[in-house]
Amino acid sequence: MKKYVKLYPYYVSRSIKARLAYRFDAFIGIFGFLLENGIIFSTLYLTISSIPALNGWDLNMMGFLYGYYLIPKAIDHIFSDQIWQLGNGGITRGILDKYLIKPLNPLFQLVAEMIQLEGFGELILGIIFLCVFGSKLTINWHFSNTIGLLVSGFFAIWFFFAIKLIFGSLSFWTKRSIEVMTLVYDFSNFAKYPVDIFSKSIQFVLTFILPFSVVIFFPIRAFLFNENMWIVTLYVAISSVAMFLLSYFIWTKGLKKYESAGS
Amino acid sequence: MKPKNIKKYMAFSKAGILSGFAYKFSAFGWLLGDAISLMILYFLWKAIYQNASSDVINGMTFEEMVSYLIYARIGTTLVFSTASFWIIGEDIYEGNIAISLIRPINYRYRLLATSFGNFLSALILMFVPLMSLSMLLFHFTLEIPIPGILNFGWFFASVILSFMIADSLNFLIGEMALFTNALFGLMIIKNITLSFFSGSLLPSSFFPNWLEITMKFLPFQSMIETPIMILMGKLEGYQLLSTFLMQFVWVFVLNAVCNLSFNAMKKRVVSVGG
Amino acid sequence: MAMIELRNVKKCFKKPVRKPGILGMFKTLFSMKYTVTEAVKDISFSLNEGEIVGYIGANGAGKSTTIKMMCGILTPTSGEIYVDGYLPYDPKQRKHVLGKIGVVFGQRTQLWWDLPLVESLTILKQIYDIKESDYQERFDFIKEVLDLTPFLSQPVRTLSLGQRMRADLAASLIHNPKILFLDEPTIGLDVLVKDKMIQAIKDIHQRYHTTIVLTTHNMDDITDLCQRVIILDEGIILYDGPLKMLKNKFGDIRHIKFTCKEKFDTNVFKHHFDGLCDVVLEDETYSIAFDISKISINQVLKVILDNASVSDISIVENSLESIVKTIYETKKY
Repeated sequence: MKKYVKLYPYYVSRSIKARLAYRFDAFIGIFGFLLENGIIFSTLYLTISSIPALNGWDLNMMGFLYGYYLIPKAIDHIFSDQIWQLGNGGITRGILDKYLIKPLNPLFQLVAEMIQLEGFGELILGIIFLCVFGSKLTINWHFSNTIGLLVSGFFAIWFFFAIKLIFGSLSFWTKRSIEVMTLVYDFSNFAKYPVDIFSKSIQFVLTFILPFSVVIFFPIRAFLFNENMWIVTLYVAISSVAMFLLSYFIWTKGLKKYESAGS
Repeated sequence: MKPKNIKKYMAFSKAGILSGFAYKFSAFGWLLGDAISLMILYFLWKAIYQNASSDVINGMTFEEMVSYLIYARIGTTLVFSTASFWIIGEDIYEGNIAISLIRPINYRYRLLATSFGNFLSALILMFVPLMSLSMLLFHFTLEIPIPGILNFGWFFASVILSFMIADSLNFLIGEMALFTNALFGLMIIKNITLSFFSGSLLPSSFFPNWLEITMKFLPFQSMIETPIMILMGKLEGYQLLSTFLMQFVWVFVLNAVCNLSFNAMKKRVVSVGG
Repeated sequence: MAMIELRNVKKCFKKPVRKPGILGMFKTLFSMKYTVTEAVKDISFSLNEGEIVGYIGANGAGKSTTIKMMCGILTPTSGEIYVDGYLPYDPKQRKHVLGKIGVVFGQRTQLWWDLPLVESLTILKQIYDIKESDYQERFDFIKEVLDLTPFLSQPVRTLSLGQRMRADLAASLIHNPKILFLDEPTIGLDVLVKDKMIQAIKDIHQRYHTTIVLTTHNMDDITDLCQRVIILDEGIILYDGPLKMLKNKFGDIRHIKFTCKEKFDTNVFKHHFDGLCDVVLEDETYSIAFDISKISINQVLKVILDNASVSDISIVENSLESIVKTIYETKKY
């Protein structure tokens, strides 16, 4: 365990160094994601401007929600972007072989391999939104709800990671799963909106099957409407941990299959 | 263009059609992703109109809004079927651009011809089935009238112009590959900017005033919003003709810009090396 | 105990029966039919410490599969493999093996693509817990022997094939593995770089007595490096023994090639040597192959010179390549 803690900064620092060698490219990547989210939010902004509030959520609240949505997503994007390679034909290309012959956990090696600076575009925007819209709202920033929000955000990072890992690991069986991965990952877009605007069946999916709304929307709702933060944080923790355990289980199963049957 | 050259260009178009068909599965995969965002938009707008004080927001009813957004998304499969960005981008990235300059065929038009092939395959594989499906769906569920033949006629004329505008813009942005290796990042910037300003995410009547006015002088609006509005019968008579004129003007202007910039690039490549 | 030991190893792959076309794709998804391919049917051999063995076989013979099983990436369907006494594919025992093996997959790199070689080596030092003094010593030796200094600080992505192969070899050795698996390490390399690689492998073997398993299609590499060869075909071992014995068993064959001004009557040979040798005409060059223990060179040359005015002539020993080719063709052994 100590070895991993010692090794990880090595991987990270070298990966960042390598990426920064091409400054302009890194900038374009970061700018691209920042712009994309900026424009999508502008669309949302212009849409909602035409009405006073969306089911009780006004512009500033929607902005605050959007900002919160971006942050855990961004952090996961920065650290575990290599997982996409799993679904992108990586299994058949044998990218796992070089991990399997080293005395180090292969999942750790896969994740640590790359730091994706593009995610900073989302992160910067998310922080800006939280500050700008947060200041326009009258929020009771006290200890319990702030901590609750931070803790939920922390677990949300693992949730995003778990989703990528589950659907990436499907390619152990289906050879290529990037389309499914993208589809499910994009499902997270539902969480930018108050969950009650959707039909009952979609709400069910967003709460119990792919609980993106639990992990992103519920904490903000509790935070802004002064509901019980601790219960919500508990829900977030349970969903995220459950998803993570599931993802690790599927990954391990897939890896076993790979070792017995090859690619 | 000489007649025998036209044959050469048609060969590229054929190649474009075939590759469009070959990538059909990947295209459908991405389409499913579109389905999700359309679903979100549907519910969002439903809620918006519920929370609004009137049935009409910025000149559109709920039914019109939903059909606009879905027609727009289907329209993008046609208008943005161009592959010019990737072709020129990869050629520059891999250093093939020098070879292409030696060939006795105009590079820009060759790309346009290939993209036209993509256009045709998108028309057959995606546009026709999806459009028919959604028009029938709207007719029976939301009671939206199916557009008339005349509207379709003008729509296709407009769409072809839009396609050419989109192709020129893709080409121009693809030339940026000279300055950076981050093609994927460039693509994201290009796609989101074009999506937004072409009106495929939101009709321009929702834009703030200053932006709406600026858009009138830019080619973007005419890429999606114009043809879709024509289809929905919202542009008629004088307005219809003037927007057509605008599109024509932009087609010529952008084409000229493409040729100018490409010639400048040629000079640079020839002197500095691929 | 032997360094590597394989006992009756068998490996089968189950592949779903794929039907062509779009409809076939759907049928495949739902069908339960499988075809079973036996990539490795029954292999047994053992290697002692310090041996260098050439593992030869046609593509699809089962070479890569065996190597993967020895590395622990693949599990045998039946039979056992012991690497330094442990089963490399057993999750619990694997950790005893991983630190002792080094692998070079010729067609894929194991290095970090964006980082310079020297950084990759530093990370490997951490991963394998190499002591600083050992690392320094190995690093200096490997750097010298593989001539790494010119490109040590360039990102691996920018290296030429020859440089990248040397870099991969360096990375596979830095932790002083007891066993080195080289899977096509010289593929695509030009003559000069190839020779450098082979010499480097020799130097390393001499200094550290590493056990080496080499698979390659290049027979010169084998003749250069290996004292022992194992020939694999369709999942079974056709030959396992010293290189010299292979030549002996197959006869000390010489090939004489010559061109002459007029047409040469090949029946003359049949008459003199009564079917003991074969004459072939190709592109105006005549080739004779004969066993030097049965017919003397003198005799053959005499017949040629007596019956033709030779414009050019060459005498060549039997190559490993042609021996291997014959083995495949006759599948004896």
